[in-house]
Amino acid sequence: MVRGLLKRIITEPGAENAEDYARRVRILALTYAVLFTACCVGAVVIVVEGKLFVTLAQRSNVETLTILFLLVLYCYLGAVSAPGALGAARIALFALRRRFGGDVPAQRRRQMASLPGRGEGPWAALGKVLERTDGAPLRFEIAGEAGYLGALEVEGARVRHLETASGSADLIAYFVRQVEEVTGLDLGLVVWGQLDDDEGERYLAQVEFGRALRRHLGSEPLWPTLAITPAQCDEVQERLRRIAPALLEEAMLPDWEYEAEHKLPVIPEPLGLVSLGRSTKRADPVATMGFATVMVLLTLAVVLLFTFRPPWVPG
Amino acid sequence: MKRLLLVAALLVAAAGVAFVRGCSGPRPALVSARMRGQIAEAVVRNEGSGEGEFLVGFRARPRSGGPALQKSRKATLRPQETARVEVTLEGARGDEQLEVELDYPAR
Repeated sequence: MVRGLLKRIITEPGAENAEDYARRVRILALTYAVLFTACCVGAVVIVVEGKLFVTLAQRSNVETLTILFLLVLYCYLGAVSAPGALGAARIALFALRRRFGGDVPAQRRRQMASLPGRGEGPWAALGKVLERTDGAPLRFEIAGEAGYLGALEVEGARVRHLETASGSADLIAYFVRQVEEVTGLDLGLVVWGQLDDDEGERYLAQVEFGRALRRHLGSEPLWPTLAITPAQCDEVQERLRRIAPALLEEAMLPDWEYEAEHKLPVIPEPLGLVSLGRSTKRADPVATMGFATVMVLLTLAVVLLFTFRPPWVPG
Repeated sequence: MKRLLLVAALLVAAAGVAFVRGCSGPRPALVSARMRGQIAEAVVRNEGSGEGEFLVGFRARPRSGGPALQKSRKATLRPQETARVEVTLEGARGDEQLEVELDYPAR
């Protein structure tokens, strides 16, 4: 249950269905906008009210360096979220144009034209080899009213997003979940290329060895394999087509991929005798930036509270 | 799970309100200021529900020009209290233009 919850919230938040995917993109855009704004407000308040915070810190036995740490945190997260905030503003602008300017397909094509040049997107390694029952190559082209948004290509256990102007790893998570739903079998993602390409290449080399050995022996699949029928491929293709508008919007946002590690010090430093930890191979930007936003908003709330209602300090 | 999160959020909010109620400092606001001979006087009101020590800075500028006389003094305000704070400015004539600055926390 916890694993499923972590997957839904942290690793693959938009993978369930097309509506979830679109919601995730909207949440991500809003998160970047809120994070950037909050960081700017926080930095300005700390700079303007610097004397107040230094006095508060020194009177309350809090390390004065904490103020500088907060300032650096706001500046760093502000810089990280700035491209996302700009992307969110552009998404909002194009949404307004679609609503009031009419001719939705033309507006979407305009939005598409505003994207940077195409290139190779993220890749990941599947838990099983995925192949078509008729032996045809597995390639899913994603296109909507805006035009062509790139293709997902599967070769053995490697799945890649090609010819794309965006580059979201969550698209791969969505693809895998849809394949699992359509076939009713587990497929799984075991390595994310953006996060650990060495480990991914090592794993994929073993998979290729298994496939080569199978061809050599002319045997049944040696590596765990999931075979997908042409009809199932068409269904997956249709499900990919449904997220094309969301993919177009997502292409305007940066894709920050991180691993996540949560530590709970039961007996904290300097003793540090017991600490609980849990790590996740991939944390979606919605989770990482969302968590950063919550932290920034919490600290900003304290900063604003102390600015407008300074706490009691010893005389 | 949802109930747990809701209870946790309510507890955090209650702790926040309790902190603001119990641990706020004063919010001194200047009511009036005047020179009375060599004595500079400021009436200060606490507009907050907290209490604490604050700094009153007096600056008397001679109307004919020249250096300002200045002095500061710490004072304490209780919740919603109004207080008169006075200092003696040696050498003042009484017709200076008085400026008063209030600082909390006292720096």
